[in-house]
Amino acid sequence: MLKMENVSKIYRTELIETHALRKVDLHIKAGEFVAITGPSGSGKTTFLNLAGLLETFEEGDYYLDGENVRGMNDNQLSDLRNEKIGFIFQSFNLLADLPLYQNIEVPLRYRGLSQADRKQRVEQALETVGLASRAKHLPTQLSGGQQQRVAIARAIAGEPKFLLADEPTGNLDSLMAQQVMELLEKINQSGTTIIMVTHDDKLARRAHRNIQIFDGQVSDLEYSVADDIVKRA
Amino acid sequence: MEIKSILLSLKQNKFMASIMVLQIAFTMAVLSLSVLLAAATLKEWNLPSGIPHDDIIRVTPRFYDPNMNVAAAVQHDLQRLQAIDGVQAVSPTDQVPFAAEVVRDVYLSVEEEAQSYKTNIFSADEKLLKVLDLTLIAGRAFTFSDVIADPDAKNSEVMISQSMAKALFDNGNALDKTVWLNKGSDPVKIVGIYSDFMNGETLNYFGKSYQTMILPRSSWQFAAEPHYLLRMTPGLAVQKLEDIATVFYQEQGRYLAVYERLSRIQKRMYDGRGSRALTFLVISLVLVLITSFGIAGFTSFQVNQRRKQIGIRRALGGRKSDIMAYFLTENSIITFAGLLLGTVVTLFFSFELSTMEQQNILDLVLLMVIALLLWFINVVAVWLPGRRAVKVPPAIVTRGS
Repeated sequence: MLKMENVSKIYRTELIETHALRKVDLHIKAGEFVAITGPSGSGKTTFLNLAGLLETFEEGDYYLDGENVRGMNDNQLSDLRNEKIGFIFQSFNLLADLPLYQNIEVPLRYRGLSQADRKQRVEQALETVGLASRAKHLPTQLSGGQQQRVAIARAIAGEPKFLLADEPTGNLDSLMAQQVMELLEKINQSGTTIIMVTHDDKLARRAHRNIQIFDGQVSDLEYSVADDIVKRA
Repeated sequence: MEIKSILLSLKQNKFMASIMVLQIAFTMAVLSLSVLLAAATLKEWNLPSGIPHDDIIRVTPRFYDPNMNVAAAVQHDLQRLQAIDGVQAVSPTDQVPFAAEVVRDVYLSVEEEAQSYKTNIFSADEKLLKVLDLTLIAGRAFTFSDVIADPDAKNSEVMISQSMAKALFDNGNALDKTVWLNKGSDPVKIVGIYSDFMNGETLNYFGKSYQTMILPRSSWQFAAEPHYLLRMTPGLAVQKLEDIATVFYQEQGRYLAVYERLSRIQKRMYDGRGSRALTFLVISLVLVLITSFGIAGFTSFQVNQRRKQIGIRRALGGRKSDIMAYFLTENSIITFAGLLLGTVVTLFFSFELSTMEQQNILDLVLLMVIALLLWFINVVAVWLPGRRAVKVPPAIVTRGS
């Protein structure tokens, strides 16, 4: 479903080379809920950028939903992002000038959907996140938790196969974080693969699978409920 | 096209957008009016003069002694000028071709609301036709006995040019008709029609370059002095200019203010007109430049302000072309509003001008060309900063805000 083989990313300046990711081998299956943890500067964001096709890489192969994205041009990458991936960010990244409805509509327009189709999907997505009555509001008129729900609505409106979430609860208080997490779990249960970058161990443990990135290298962490109990004791 | 979202977004930037709209409207209005005026100015460029202007000399004496018998002095001057070798004919007139600036209104009836017709009236003696080498087209030419010398006597007859005849009567059949030289008074009968010659700057500008009349009148006195027009043997005009000037060095009570060939006056007229049109166009060009910089600056500002937004749009699947299309559409909406407002202002002023000066400068095709030109400039002005916008990397979205 999402398969990286030997993927490396190197940032070069005149003076130094930074190996942000080293020979990553990773296979995430359809329907998984994966949490990615790691200290600051370990390469989490770089991983997210590559997985989300926001950046290109020098070495290795990356298969997204069966397609090798290596060597694709900018337009192909844009189209693939639009169709396969939904993004959720720590800082929400809503378009501040636009009401919620138009915010959610943006990726659907890029896909070239008809107006009727867009309307149906936007309304459905707003319904799912419980903000149907706020369609005409501007993002700044909402609370942080509500804004993140709008971002989720925007991410799922196009029915992507993947959701990439970058610290989705990082800017939220615990109650709102809880709500957002529940929403993500609900979306995962309906079949969408979720990859979530987080600092929060508690949140990470709610995922099916935990991956740690350390110094540009990726490894699976095995958690079990028993481990948790032992640790708490 | 995401016009609705762009409009919603512009609503959030009302102030900046309004200023841009005003700037474009102002440019549209000034550019249009300048081009329309310049076009009207240049329309009557280099028309045939109808006279052998290379071979006609204009001499303007000034009389400074109030006690002098001007009428007698004029007769004396004319005789001495006539005696110069190469002078074929001399006539005193109160106006000079290419420089006839005393525009008069004449009428075809005495009613209060009678339509007025613009013309230059040349008061001259019977030799003017010969001096200007005009052809008699209909009726008769004036003779010596027609010329009125008494300042208090009024003329009863007039000759008019062919164009004047057409202006007054659609079929040009003007002979024996009456025309009033003032509103409700001074009726004169048209006794002859002559071939066209160019009057002066003012009527030329209005496209009425050949509307003239000749009154047989030679009532010169102090403060109502004539110019002398001299018809020279072809080719001799330049050579004889100094001989002509010499005549006046020996005369009392007057000095020679101007002496020159008519071709020089003609050149002056067109030169003045050319520089006027040029001034209009240069002002417009500067404005267009300022506006295009304004648009480019505005877009550039927007691009900088919205780097994050652009990145978000790219992350959500927007292609580079979508980003460019967004900025082009946004600016086109602003430009369209500006052009619309500018066109309204232009129409208003050209209607004002046309009622004020009885001159229709409006040219809708030209207006459309100008609007398209400004649109094109807008596209170019957006394109350059837009290229920076499309280079914003989508990965900007994962950086901290």
